[in-house]
Amino acid sequence: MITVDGVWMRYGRGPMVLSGIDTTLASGSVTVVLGENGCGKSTLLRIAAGVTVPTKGAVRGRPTSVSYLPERFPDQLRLSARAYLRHFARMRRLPTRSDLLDRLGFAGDLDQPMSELSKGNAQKVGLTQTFGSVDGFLVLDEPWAGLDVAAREVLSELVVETAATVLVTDHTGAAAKLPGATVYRMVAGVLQPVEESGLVDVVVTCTSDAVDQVAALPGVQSVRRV
Amino acid sequence: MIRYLLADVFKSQRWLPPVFVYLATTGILYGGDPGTPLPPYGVSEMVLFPLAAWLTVVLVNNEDPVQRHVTIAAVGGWRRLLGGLVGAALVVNGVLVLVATFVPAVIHHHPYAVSDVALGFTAHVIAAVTGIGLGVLCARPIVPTTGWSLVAVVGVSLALLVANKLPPVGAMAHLLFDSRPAPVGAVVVQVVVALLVGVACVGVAYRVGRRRF
Repeated sequence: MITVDGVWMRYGRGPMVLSGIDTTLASGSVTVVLGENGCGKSTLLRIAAGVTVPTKGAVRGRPTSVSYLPERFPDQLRLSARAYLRHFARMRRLPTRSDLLDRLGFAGDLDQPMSELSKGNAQKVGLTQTFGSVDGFLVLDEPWAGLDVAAREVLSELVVETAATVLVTDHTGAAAKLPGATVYRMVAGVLQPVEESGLVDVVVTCTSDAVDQVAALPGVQSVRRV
Repeated sequence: MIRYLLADVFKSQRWLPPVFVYLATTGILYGGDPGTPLPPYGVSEMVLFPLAAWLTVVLVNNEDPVQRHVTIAAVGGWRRLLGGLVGAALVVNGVLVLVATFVPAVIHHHPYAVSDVALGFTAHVIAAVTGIGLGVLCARPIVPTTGWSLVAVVGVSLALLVANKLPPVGAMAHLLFDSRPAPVGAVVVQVVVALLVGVACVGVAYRVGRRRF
């Protein structure tokens, strides 16, 4: 279990970015953080990953090696994808998971410098590096952004499959659909749980007569014409 | 980790300029007839100091800043990464120390006594350790841009050159320049000072750097 214990953060003399985050991540659970751009999600993730030291508070129970995927995967790496994956697997004392590259639909040369890969393909190498760990702690910042549709599906499967504890941010809406995920929204530097409303939006194309019949169906909350 | 850091810096080729400058300087130094073994060792030691610092800056600043976050998370924090960076710097500078010590002894017609070579080796180790210390202080995340890092390294090196006999690098060089045999006690003092300076610099780099990511 990983505990985020009273974490406050400000950069220099700037405003507070995080104002007292308290949460626990049960091992093997998936936690999603939603929120607007610049609300402090990325800062929270870097603190959770052990990169940034918070102004106040601490993160406890973190394993030594954390798999962190930054929001923008660096695009100036000189190593080849093969060498990059090999080095990171060695640092974590884990086998290289090249099979994940195939599953994510990686299309590129494993032996050319990663700076020559397309953004999506570099992101897939980054994801493979991250998911190499089977039972660790994965911290993923907007991992669905920049992936093609097929790879997004695969990524959602990977997040559900893994035995690791996952902390993820998202604005594509993919994370909210993950079964069993705990969802928070970050507002004004604190995490607010997002309650499951139990309601689903459905778009139906039908004749205007049928609208009244749909509205009369049991369980329909509201009907809106667009 | 050290292998990854070395592979990445090797690919970047940024290690070439300091190494070339060093080889060129020592080439000129040993090109004519340098005379007795010890004084040129002293010069080569003083040249190694700023270049060891420059090499360390190259090594520390080599990784992309965002990739650095990934690496810190993967290895388990800035302390471990800093340890890896110092280890990698010791490997790279160790090669230079060996070249600087043994190549002159092999190629030159002057007889090099074992004690001369040992003194030369000690002097270069002192320069490398102190240089690595200066390097980690002048690199990211403490000095954010490489331009300022270079200014800092050159500035400190020039200041130490003007200060002349300041321990450990300057004082050790002067022990070598001296025509009398260098007393063992004085050399040991310089080694201890160099180790203390190196450890203190890395300690400061850890304390100051950990809050800068």
